[in-house]
Amino acid sequence: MFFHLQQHKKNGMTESGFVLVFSMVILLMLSFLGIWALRTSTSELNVAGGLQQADRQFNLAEGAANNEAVGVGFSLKTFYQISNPALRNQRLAPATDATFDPGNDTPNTFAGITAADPTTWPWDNLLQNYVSPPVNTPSEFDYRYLVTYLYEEDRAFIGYSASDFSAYKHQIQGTTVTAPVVVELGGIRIGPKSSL
Amino acid sequence: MNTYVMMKSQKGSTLIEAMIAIVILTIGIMAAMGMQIRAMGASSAALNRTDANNVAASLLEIFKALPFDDAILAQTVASPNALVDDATTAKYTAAALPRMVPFVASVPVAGTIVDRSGITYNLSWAVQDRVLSATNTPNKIIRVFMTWNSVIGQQRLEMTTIKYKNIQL
Repeated sequence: MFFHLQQHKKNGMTESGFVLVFSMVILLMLSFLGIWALRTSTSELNVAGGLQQADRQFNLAEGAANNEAVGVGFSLKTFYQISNPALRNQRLAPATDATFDPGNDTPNTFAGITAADPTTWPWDNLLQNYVSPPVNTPSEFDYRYLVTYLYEEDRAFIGYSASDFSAYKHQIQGTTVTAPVVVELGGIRIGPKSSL
Repeated sequence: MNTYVMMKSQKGSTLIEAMIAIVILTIGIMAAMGMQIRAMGASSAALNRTDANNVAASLLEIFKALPFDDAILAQTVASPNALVDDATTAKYTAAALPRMVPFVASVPVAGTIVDRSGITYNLSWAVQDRVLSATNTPNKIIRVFMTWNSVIGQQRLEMTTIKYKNIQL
């Protein structure tokens, strides 16, 4: 009997607080489970948001390139007129700060343009809204672009006289100011031979 | 005698301990359930946004593929600044744009679609022509708007691009 009581006492003291400790362990596991679920769903939301932003920025950049293609086609900017088509790989860029950045959204200047670095390219606005954004603050529709005249294609196009007209090949690049996506177009402008 | 006193003093301690544990566990489970509910909400919002993005991107691609003078791309606003909100928009109808039918399960009313996942969105777009002269419209600014309700509130998506006409002399 004495031995039995001693054993009981020993067991009772060893197991004291076990339920509490066990519940705390379960609680900890539940916490990790909850945090993991939350992190997973937050990641899903970030992926969905990132996907949407990627599509949005791509369409803006494509719109930017299309807009400049129209500018080249209709000579909407004076610097898209080429004085010497024989000179290959001419960068058709603004020559003043006013045309480099009509909205005055960047401290960059036309003097620092480099083809390899889109952050130095000229600015414009997809909605041609140059008023609303404060100075040095890009709006969501601001974009950068770079147009390069490549060469004159010496061939006649259907419907055009080969002696009077020629094809002038351009490279047109557009990018948004908030994402590193660049859309590039190759465009041929048909114009009077050796004179644009 | 000492052993008896000790056993008597521990009487009911397991019950109290278990009750405390149950209370702590209940609080923990409720918190975990809260996190799970938030996680489900975020997952649902992510699904909604992914689907909305797919619908909007598909619609924009269809617009790009349409002829420049297609009636569906008629100008809806005259000023580019009016494009910054979706007040003046064309609203989606299946009859006007049959190419979108594979992406849409039903159209309860004009401008409201239910996509293949059963999610309801408001779908509209705005177009503004760039006019150089009475006969010369070289490009269009196209914006697609989608709004929907999700467990984390009203959500909105917008995509913008420019479509240009083939250049003519």
